Amino acid sequence: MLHPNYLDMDLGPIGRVVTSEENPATAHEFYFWTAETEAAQNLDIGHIVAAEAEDATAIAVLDDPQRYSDLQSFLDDFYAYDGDPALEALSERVEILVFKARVLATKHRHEKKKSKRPVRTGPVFFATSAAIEYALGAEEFSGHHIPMLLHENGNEKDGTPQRTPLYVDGDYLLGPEAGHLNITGMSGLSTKTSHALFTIASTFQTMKDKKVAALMFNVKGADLLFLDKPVEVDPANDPELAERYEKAGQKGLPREDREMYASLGLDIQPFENLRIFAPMRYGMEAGERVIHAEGVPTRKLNTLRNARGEDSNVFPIIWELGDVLPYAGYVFEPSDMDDKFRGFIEELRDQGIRTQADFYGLLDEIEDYFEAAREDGKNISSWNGHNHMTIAKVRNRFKILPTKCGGLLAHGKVEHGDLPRVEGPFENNEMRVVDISQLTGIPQDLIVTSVISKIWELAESGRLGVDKLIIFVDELNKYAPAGNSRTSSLKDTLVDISARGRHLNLTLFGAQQFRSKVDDEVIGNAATSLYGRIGDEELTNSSYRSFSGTTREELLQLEKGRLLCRHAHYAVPVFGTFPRPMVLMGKQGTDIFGEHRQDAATSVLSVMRNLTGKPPRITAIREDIEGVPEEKIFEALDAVQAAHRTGHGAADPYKNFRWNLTRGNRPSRRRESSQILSGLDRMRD
Amino acid sequence: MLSGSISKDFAQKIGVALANARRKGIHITAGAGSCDLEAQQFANLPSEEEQPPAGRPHHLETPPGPRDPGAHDGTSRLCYFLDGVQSAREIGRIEMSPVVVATVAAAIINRCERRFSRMPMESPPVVVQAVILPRSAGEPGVEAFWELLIEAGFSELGPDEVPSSEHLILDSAEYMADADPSDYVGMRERSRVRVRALRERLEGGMLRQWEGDDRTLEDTDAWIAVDGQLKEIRESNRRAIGLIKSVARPEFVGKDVGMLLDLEPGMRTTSFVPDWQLRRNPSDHRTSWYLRMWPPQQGADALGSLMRIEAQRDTEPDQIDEISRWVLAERAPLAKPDPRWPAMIYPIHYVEKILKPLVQGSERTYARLERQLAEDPPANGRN
Repeated sequence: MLHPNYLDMDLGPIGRVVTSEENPATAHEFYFWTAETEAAQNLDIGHIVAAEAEDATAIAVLDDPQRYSDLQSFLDDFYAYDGDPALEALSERVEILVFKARVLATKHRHEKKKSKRPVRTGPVFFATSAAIEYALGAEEFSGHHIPMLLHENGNEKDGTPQRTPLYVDGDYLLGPEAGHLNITGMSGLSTKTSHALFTIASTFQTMKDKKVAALMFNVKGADLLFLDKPVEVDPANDPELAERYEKAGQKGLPREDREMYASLGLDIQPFENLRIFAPMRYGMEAGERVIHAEGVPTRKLNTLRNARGEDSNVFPIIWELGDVLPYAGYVFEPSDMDDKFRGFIEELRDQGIRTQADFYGLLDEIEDYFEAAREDGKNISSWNGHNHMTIAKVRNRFKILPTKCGGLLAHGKVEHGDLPRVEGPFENNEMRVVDISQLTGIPQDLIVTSVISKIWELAESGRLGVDKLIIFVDELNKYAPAGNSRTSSLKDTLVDISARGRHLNLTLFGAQQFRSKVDDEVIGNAATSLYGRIGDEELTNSSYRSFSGTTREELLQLEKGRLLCRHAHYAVPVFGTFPRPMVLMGKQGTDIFGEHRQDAATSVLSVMRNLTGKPPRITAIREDIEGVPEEKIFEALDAVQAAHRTGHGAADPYKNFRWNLTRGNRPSRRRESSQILSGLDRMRD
Repeated sequence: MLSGSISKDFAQKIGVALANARRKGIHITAGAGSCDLEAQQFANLPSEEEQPPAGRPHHLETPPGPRDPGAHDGTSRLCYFLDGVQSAREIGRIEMSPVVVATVAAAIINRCERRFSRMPMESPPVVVQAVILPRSAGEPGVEAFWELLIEAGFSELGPDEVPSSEHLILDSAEYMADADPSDYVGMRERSRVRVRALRERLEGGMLRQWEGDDRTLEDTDAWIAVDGQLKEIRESNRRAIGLIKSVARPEFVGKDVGMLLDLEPGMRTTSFVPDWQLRRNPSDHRTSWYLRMWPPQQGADALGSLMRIEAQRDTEPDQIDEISRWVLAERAPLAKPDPRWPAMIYPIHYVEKILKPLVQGSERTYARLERQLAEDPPANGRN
């Protein structure tokens, strides 16, 4: 044997290469029939085997199994059995199972030589993990080996299949050699998002010598809002929390998933540095001239991650009018956006209009201008070249702007203070989630477009704060559609990221249901592609033409957690699996950590756990808050929390909470949330 | 690659003998190229299994006619199946004496749980290869080449000996009283007969082994079906039947032939001893009967789906019925794609399938030898 360490010699030959005029062995594929041994019974699509040419060992992935007999006509069999399917013939007609194997790599006996010679007729063995790693180019990786999937081969030992991590080259995933990941799959199986999370976690854990961060958009429920929470809790460490997990039906990871993580060399741990950004709920803003972002309580944000004690990493997204104006094309109807309308919006930007207050102030000035002209008997119909009818139209359309923006837009000026911003620099291993799940249409598009554009600008100016940033964008067919019929600034930005992002340390992890409907450049620039279950209408598309018929059939019925991976270093796509997420996802997050699950005392305890290493006992809290209205408790608690968020918290937060609690009601000084802000101001003082 | 390595050794040994023959001035003329004795003029000759009958058979059941063996119940005691194949080729000539090389192979398979496996045997070998020369015809060059082949490692085979060596040298004129070395055509035919005899000896040797095998002795219910006539069978072996699938000419005469041609599918004839067997030693007598497996097939004659079955001489009618039912139970799976499928059973088809690659694998060896002969310039300037 040329490379005994590449062949599973323990199980022995599992088949034999066959060549014929009709089906010769080539440099890229060969056929073999399977033995009838127990080991060979395991052979299946996607398994990896090895066979030999004269001076080289070929490692190949199985495709297209076909079972043959020498029966020439179905009718012959029908007649032989007298049409009786129950008849047990004395002999079984000999059948053989033949697999087509597609060559991943061929290793020459001499290290420095390359070989593409087809295999010869001879025995076929299961490939060992060493062979699989070689075949998938691991020896040629220039970057980190990032586990992407786990390959399970048919060579079992004590009932456990041989597991080999399918690595991708970090330099080809995150740049600079190539970049980007694209995931295709049907909606509703949560495979795309789960795998994106898995890959991000895998990247964080693997690239220890580089600062890496990720940005994701939460578009459904609480899917990505509890990524900092473990998938399970040890009752010995926290029995109360473990009970809540159990009540929520969160059972933790099955044994096989744990084994998969172990095989992949990954720790099961949540994203510790999670930051969530969400806009305010519509109607929560009171119309002040200045709004202090750090004083906006989480309860006012349009997110499901709003329980007290669980919101220390939740931050608001609040826009001034000036932030909306560049995206007027998204907000207003195309029929309204004529040149005159657009011209006036440009005027607003030129005039430095930042807030709605500024805007209405300007409109008042313009009105005064027309009024003065009328009083002077002048017949003036325009201001600064803008017809008064256009200005009236703008006033009219801008009236519904707050409604259209769904809580995103503040009336006045926004003071962010020291609060982290959604478009700000990242920290190492930061998982930044922008929660747009509670929004619809325009505000959702506005946030996605704006955040990605601003982060692109951040990258261009070299202020990302990390060495590599991963941006995960689902539904690419919506944001970067194929063809030239629809263009948008977001699509342009996504295309830019795809084309140039790897040089600016920006990587796009894109996902979509319909790969064929995504812009060619975005797809073409992805050096790694994953395919989950795909519908037959989509599969008939030319995007999947290079797959064999069997692979396409497999994709039609791929089970959850199994994907087909195509990577720059892989000669042939390879199937693999990945474990369930190592974090809490979906409804269980709100069930376990939502506000409604807690009484006031528990909320106080949760907040104190975040603020101090020595939280009070729950019994003590219950005594302290006994008889106090719940509303007052929460106001006092919010004040303490707000102070800490701005870095002005008291040394003993619980003492400060009790002090807030015992103070009488104070008259409102600023606006409806004065109690909170009074606490904040007091802390500052 | 068992047969491959055997063939390689075989060719090497002949190559050595050829080289020595050249040095000694023995001229061997190359053959005309591809010249398969099985496929040439002998193909039209009647099979030895089906020699033309000389007279009326001896009927064992009366009156002669069709019998209904009853419907099979899907069971059978046929657990072992024996068959052999052969291939022969003339690779050259010494003067007018043909130099023929042959490969014969035989095997027994066991059917267990509806699946087949080859019955391993230490002896005789599964594949035997031979050089056949008309040594007894008296041609000096042939005699000299014979000696060179012996020197190269070939073994001779005694008159009733079962092959034990994989490489043999056989005399095609051994039993001819006055063999004419110039009778090229006759010598070739004798070679073919010798090849067939070699195959039959190999099969006979295997049947002997089967009879004495511990597994067979322990399982007294297990029977063996042999492809062709029951030869070389001991009187003590009552668990063997022969299946003769080609009925070139019926053993019946007169109105019995009409009865045979009209035999319905699933029916058998009354039993008999063929006339030609009657004229042999009583130990060669077998009980025979015809069985129609399928209706006559389109494009085939009325004999096409008839099978003659041989069993021990004193097989009783009840047992004949039972054996017939066993054979009828073999109708599924069909023995296609063998063209003789209407009178064949699938297990025999299977044995042929596994044996044919063994003899076909010799083709390259034969071709190489022919090339070697063609490339060697004659020492005396002829050719």
